[in-house]
Amino acid sequence: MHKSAHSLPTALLLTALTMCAACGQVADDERLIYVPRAEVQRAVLIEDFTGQRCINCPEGSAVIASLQEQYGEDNVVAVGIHSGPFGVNQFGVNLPLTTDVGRAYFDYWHLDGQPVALINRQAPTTNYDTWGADVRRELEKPATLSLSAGTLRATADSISIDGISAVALSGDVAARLTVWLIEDSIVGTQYLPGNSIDRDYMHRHVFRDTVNGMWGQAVLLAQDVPQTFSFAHARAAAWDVRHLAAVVFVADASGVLQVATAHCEPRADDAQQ
Amino acid sequence: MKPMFCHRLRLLALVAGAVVSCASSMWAQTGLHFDPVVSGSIQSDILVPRADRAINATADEDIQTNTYVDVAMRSSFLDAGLRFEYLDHPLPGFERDFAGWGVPNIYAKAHFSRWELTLGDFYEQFGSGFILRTYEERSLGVDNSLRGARLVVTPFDGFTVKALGGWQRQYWEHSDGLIAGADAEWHVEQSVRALERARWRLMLGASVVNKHEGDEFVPAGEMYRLRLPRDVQAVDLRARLSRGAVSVLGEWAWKSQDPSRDNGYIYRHGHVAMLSASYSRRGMSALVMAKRSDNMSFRSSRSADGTSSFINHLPAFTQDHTYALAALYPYATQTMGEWAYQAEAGYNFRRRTPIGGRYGMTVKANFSHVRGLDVTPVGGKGTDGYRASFFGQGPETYYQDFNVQVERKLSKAFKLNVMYMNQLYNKTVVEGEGGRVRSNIFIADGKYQFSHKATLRAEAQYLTTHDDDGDWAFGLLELSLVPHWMVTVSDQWNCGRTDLHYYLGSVTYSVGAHRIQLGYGRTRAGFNCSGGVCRYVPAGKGFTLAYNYNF
Repeated sequence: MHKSAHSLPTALLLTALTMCAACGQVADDERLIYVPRAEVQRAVLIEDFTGQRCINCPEGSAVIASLQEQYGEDNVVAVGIHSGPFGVNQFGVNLPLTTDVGRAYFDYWHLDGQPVALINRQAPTTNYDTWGADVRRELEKPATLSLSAGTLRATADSISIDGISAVALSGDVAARLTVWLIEDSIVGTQYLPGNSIDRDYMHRHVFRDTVNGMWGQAVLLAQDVPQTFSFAHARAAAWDVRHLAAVVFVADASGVLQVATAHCEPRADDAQQ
Repeated sequence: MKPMFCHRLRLLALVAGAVVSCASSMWAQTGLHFDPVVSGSIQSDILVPRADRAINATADEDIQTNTYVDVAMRSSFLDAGLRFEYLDHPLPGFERDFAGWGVPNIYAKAHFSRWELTLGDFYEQFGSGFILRTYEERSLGVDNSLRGARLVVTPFDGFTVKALGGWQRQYWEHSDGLIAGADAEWHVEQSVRALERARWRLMLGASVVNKHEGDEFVPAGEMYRLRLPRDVQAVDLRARLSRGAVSVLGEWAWKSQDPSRDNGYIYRHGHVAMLSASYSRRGMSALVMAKRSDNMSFRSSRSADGTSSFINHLPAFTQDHTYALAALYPYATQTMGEWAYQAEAGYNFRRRTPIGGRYGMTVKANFSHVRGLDVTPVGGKGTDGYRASFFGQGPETYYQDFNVQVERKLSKAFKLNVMYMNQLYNKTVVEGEGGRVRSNIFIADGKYQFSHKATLRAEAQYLTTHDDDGDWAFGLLELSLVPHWMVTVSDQWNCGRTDLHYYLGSVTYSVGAHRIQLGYGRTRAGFNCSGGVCRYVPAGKGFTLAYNYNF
């Protein structure tokens, strides 16, 4: 028996085990690091690709709600795009909140898994535990343009968005302006973990339609020269205008540059319905 | 290929070339002959998809393929190899980042009588894989090889020491986390002659793995972020004692604080304990084993999800079934923790006995049971997460399976296998929703040999259940015409709820080292849930072409 040959590797291994067991441990009272509130330089768009059959999506929605409470809904603009395999039934038919446009966005970005978010159209992320870090990073980036979503009004059969205003702040901006309609506070079915279904779930910020095409329209914004835009769209009977809003954003190849929202100013007779 | 990937590949090729050059030079001085043998393989699976509204199958691309080309050179002291992969338009059901092409695997290995050194990409397993197992499984899209260096030394017979370090493959990138590990395994009977004379075999093993990963901003509430450990250690101890037909194996593993996406960023340590005993002699075998795992997901990237980046592997303690309906509800190990038990027995009734009959009969039975831990939550992100007593069993059964198989040759030309299986599958736990699926499965598999050149195999299977999609039926016919041809047709019919047929037909031609298979049919859809995110594996339909060549 080769005693020296036995003892040396064993001793080294035991030493390594002992040393390593103490490496990297974080004491109970040292696990949290204080982080000052982010300095908001611009608004951030969260495109949350969700679905009524997606059991983990409510977790992502809760994270978004927390971020909106922390930074304000005008600074963190969320859109729930019902789409993907969890936005359809087993026969591939759209569930009530899913739209063909939403599904087209999901397919275009080659998304994988739900919930998945595009935060200012950076790399898609399914890790809702770190969406807060991604939002914080985007909030602190300097704004290159200023954007106002104007005024959203509804008539019996149409929606108008007037007075959208965009101005480049530092240098000219060549990008695309997109206008979406979203509806908040829709009560409907949602699958939940543990094989349960909530039939009275409150769906927030649900994507309804795009006003000016999937990818909006090209705009060229000269520095310090405001441009205004107006749009009109047909009103769908299923939409509740009291909860309707317009999401207006400007994006280029680097991502979303700025986003703004305008809530619907209902007519008096709409308020009575 | 991504730029960083190419940069590391060039560096690796330079180093590997240096090793080859040095080793060749060293060996040349010994005067021994360098006699390399080159081998390899080509594997290509191609799908020409077709849309099918009935099963919700789409045809988004004209052609999809997973193609692999392996080339290896082996000699008496030096091996080298590489693998080319074309996955730019992969088959359906793989993760988004799986797509790409390039040479993700290249290695050079110098080996002599007592040591070997590998530079490049390699696969390794310590013990049962509880703290390190890197492997390739193409059908699952898994390749978590390490790129770095590995040294294996056998200082004396029966004692092996390994040391390794590297970065783990993550699709077409490599992890930022650096993995380092060491393993020692000692087959004591090769050193202690008294043991060998008494016919005892004793194996002792110990391993350690360290993952070093940079910081990451993980929010914890509005005003805080987590302080994350940069180093995560895992330790494994194992022993196996055997004599004659009996063998007993015990293994234990521990992991330090590892807040990750898989465990909700908690700081609880991880543990695995396993005990197994087996008995095997001619004509009879038995096996019992138990395993408890608790928070042992171990990845090279703490926030990764899906199938990538696992450093370790926790096998499911359930039988792998090959029959279609028996494998309809496959269990996947729950990384947060479970108790798993398995027992298996087999007996061969010899021929020309009352029960064995003229040709003999084999009977096998298997039972497996998996349930959760008894946990008490103590907090969420940033806390220890939960408490769980070691022997505590949770209220939920995750999976249970009892099956009996009988194999009997009824005549000189006809052999029959029959199987009965009772299964409980907790679809809610494994897939996130669907409740419990309780089913009974009946299978008959017969093979008739018409001549030494022609054999016909037929399968008939039936799954009956009141749950999920209800009953299923499966039938298969397979005609083999030796040495070149095989024709197969099958149909899997959901007679319980949807009335959909998932038919498949294929023709296979083999000649020499070449094998080509042409097929057409449908495959059913399903969900693959992992780490809180569920991925959809779509239904498919279309023409398939599979080519294999080994040289």
